[in-house]
Amino acid sequence: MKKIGFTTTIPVEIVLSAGHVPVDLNNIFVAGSDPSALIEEAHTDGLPRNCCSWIKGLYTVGAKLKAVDEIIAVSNGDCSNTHALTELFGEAGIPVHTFSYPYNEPYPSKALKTQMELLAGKLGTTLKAASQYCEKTDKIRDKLKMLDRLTYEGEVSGFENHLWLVSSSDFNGDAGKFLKDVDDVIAKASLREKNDKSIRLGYIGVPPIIPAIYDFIESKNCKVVFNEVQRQFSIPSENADYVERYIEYTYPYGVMGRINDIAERIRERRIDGIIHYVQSFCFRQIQDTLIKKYLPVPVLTIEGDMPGNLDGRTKIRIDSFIEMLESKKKK
Amino acid sequence: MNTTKQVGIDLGSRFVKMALFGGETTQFLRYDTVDFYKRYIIRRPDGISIDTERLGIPEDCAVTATGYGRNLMSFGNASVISEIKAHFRGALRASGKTDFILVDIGGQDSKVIWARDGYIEDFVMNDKCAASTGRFAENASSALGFTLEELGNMKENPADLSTTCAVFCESEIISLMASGTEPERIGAGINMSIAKRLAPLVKSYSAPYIFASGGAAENEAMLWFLSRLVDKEIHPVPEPQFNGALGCLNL
Repeated sequence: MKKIGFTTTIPVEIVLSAGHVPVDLNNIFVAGSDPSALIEEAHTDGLPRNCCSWIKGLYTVGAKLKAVDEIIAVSNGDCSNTHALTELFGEAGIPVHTFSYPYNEPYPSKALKTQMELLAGKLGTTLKAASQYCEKTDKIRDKLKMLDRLTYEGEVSGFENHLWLVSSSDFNGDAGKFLKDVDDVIAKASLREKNDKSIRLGYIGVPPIIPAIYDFIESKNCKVVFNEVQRQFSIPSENADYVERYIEYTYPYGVMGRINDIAERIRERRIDGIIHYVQSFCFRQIQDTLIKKYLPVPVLTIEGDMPGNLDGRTKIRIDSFIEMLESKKKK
Repeated sequence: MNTTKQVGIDLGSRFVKMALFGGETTQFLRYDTVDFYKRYIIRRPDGISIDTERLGIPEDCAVTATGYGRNLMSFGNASVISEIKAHFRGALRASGKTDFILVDIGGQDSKVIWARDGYIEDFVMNDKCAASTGRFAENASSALGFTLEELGNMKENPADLSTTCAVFCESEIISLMASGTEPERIGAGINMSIAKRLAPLVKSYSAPYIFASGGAAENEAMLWFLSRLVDKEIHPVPEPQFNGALGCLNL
């Protein structure tokens, strides 16, 4: 049994059916006791200051701390920084498998199926075995859907929603315990009174490097009822075909697919405004233009760079945004 | 006798601005932010607050605060509003218009507010970069040895500044001077580069009027460049620096 790390969400059942432990390197980095120190270590090794902090965190976790035995690097469907990261992992002596989501392929399902088969082969399993493993993980995914519903109905906080959905990329390394933990959260939340704060916000974009943003937002007269990418990480598609689920997964593909998903959730969850989190130096910052153009509600773009506390500049923006939404609602 | 009935305080990153409304007239006061915090903060075991007595704010006076230090205003008669709302209200009141764009260029933040039918429709603020803010103008003018007033008149033949960074710009200024470029041309280049940074934010919206507030709205040359870039006249509000403090008042 090996610890198999990955740079972003991959079809995790492939790792699980091969009998290995899945480890999302992002979660190890940001949930560690001192993520900033990991970034500083990357700087010491010469990684540039003006490059995404997530990449630097992943570098230290993978190449320096050697937290995992092997790494699956997603070379297409995330950012091209991963290409350089793959080279640095290789240089550090970590075996790296690349995995590529299709980009503008004429037959995306076929291309993705080939990638999944190749990955399964490298890890010593088959796509069929991975697909059959869904019987176990679907139980968790169903619970996560329930937790997500309780979020927009008012019992689960935006932070809890973020935490459990984002952790579902690797089920915290233990799918059995994860199922039990999510069950407990749902049981406790079901007993709570519904939160009826008037402003309903959606959070979109990559998960924040500053999770304190949730506490700040929810200390105001508002509630986060949707976490876009975290929800996608939980693979909400119920397609009977295992490969198709990862075609319907929006994160690794074009922004228009994401926008359609977000717009649907805005309607479903009666969202008043969107907070679009972008990571400094990330290509997704560019997509903000299309997001603002096509979403039917106001969008506030927040930029995060280093982990740590929420800074005054960001607080001032969020405060103003919420106040604007409140007065629009009263209008 | 102190006749102040209401106080609006804008606790900005560079200056703390106060508008003291006495019933008929409004008095304006401005403090350097760092000096203000050194002199007027009271530290208590349960937290910090502002020494209103020392500031001459009567006890029964309504105080509304905005800006970075707004949450220091946690005493009895004080309330807090966001900067966007404060600046919007300031411009709404000063202009009497309900549909406009307001460009506020503060010490470290610049913001563009779109007002429609007397409400804030949307707003956008600068990203994590100080190159479109008052602080940039301040640093650049001091590197050039000009006052901000002098800088505000420079618009002829602007030198091209290639850097995107307010910090690195200083070394670019020095190298331009070393290569013989007239300081006035560099000054004009600074004004143009601020305007270039702001133009895309202003262009995100459309409204019949564009107003400007904040310290940098007193920089005529920068507004001249900006109005050329957005192809529309830009009117500074009557008290650009105190627009946020005035917007805090409930008149």
